[in-house]
Amino acid sequence: MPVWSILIAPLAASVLCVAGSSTAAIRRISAAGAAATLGMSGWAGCSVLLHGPISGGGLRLDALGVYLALIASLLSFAASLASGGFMEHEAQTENLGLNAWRVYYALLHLFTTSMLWVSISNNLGFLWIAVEATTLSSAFLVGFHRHHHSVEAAWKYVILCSVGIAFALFGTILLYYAGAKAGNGHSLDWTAFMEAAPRMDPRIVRLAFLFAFLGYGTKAGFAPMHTWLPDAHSQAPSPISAMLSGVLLTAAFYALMRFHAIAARCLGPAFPSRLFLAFGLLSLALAAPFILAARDYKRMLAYSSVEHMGLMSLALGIGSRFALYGMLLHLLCHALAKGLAFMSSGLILRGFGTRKITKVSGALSALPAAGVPFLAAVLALSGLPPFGIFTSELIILSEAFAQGRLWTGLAALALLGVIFAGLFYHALRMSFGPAREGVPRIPNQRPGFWEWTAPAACFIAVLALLGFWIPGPLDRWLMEMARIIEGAAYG
Amino acid sequence: MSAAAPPFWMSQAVTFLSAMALVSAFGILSLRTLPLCIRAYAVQSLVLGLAAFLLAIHPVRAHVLGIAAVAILVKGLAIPWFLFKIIEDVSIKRETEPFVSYPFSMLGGVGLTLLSYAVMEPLSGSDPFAARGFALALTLMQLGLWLMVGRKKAVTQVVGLLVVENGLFVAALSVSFGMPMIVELGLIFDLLVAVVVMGLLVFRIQSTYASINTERLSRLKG
Repeated sequence: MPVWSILIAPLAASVLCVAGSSTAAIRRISAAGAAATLGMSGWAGCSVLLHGPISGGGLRLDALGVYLALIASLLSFAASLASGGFMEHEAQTENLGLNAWRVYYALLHLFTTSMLWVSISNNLGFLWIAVEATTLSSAFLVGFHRHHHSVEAAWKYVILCSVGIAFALFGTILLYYAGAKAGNGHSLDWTAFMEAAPRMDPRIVRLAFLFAFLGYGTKAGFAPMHTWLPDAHSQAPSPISAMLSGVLLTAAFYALMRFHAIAARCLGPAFPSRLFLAFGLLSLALAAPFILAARDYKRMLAYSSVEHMGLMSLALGIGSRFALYGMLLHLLCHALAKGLAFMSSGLILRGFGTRKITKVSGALSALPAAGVPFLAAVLALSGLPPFGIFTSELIILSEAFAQGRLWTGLAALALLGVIFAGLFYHALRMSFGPAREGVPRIPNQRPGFWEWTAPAACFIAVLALLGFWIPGPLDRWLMEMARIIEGAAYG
Repeated sequence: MSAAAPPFWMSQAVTFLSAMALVSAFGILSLRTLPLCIRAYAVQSLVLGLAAFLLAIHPVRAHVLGIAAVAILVKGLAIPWFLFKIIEDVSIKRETEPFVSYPFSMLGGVGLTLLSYAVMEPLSGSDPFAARGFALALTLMQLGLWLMVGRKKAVTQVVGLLVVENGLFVAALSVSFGMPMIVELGLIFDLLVAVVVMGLLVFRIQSTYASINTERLSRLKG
């Protein structure tokens, strides 16, 4: 099976959605396409985990890549299902034509394609092109509403991410130069760089890593380059926000993990580690006050993404194998919880007709289909025990102390405490109490069982399960990936 | 540039063209109307395309020749044409409207240039050609960024991004045998798509705000 075959399903779905003749047909095509994408990724996952990496022609799928591919297809599947209700609502209130449906679903699947392309790129040039393609394919999804705010968000998103990532390309070119001088030939392959890393000129690699860090870090939402993130995440349609937060940030972070492996092999872990620790702590510190003082619940979730990316950066900075294990577990749990939180916040937005936290109350009783998953997801994001994020945060923090990073650990713990208080307070305030008059606004528009209730229940169940049990295969998988990021496993 | 050294006139010509690229970047920073900025960008792209062409003929490297041709066509002609079409269709006022005054923006540009050469200093001992190339590349990237920060008009920000991308083009040329063909073509295709996406967004900003000042794009806060 060639590696690129996992791109076929989403690409075909994208093309077929453009040709769809009715809204019902487009929804069916989209659901089938997303299911096929998920199936292919799952199959590729089994094959990689059982028989080792598949590679060819600048493409390569290893344990780490397939992890990203699976998260991307899973979130894309859920978002594609949840989009049906969203688009129906938009069609009524905004008077959308069939063409808007075609464009929306086609771009959704194109967006998925670009993220899967990130996961299979071994050639760092391809990787860069794929990450830029994720920005371009999602720009109009972010600006889908055509209101002042969403156009502003889309503009900031495209400009900041494109210029940020230009610096990542500069880093890639410098790395290529260092590789060529070390006898790497004309190869841009990650595996070739890993091979040549010990021979490369550390001065050039240091510069290269710095630029790549700034570039991909902008896209991953590290403070202080995160300024596009709250706007884009809060203004995009909610299913798209779920994909932006759950997968897009993860994809940029994935690029950073690849660069980390090269830099750690060439320079030793100290230099990349300092950068990751500093930006991780800064992101946590910046997110905390914004979450405490949040007024718009989608912006609150967006700042929570800055927080979680910061925490993962911190774990990568700590760098021990077990910290990386915790970071990868965190990656999965964050994607699930944040995806769920954004999609249910979309339902709350539809039902209450407001983004203001103070104007939403009694979401649990008035809109249980949205309120229950929202509360569960936000509690999971704040790090409460029955959920997987509690486990991963525990692992990361205890590793910080175990590695002798006392002050880093204490600072992270304090900031996580503040963020917990903020999320907990806002979530409870929105969930309980009497509901406002006239809520839900459009009572006969309930989310379907298969489109929303069942996937949401699955997400919650998996999150809760990961809180106290990590299955054996997943455990081995996480260990294998941790070895890749350390720079101990390649080829 | 390892094997047979290129003839003297050729390395002089490449140096001259690099200087022209730098001059045109400062031109974009100081010119006061949008059409002039776009022309200066077109000149910069043509000059860099020509430099790539010269680097490709001695020794002959077919893929760099191809990339030079594509770069001249796309960045020297197609993109400037598209930008002109946008400002015509959206009927934008011609002034670039700076946040940062022109003298200060020039001064900042000089500072950034010096910074870039300082950052690339460690390379210059072993491989002066690459070191100069990377320093020019970083300079163009920072000047582009500076332009984006300092101007209000959405189209000027696009021009800034294009200057950043020209910097990347220089960086790729500085690796003496160029990047792999397919990657370079992918980059140029990406650029083309990016410009079209941004162009469409400019139209959308125009239709929702009736102005393309990014100054108005500041309602999202908190």
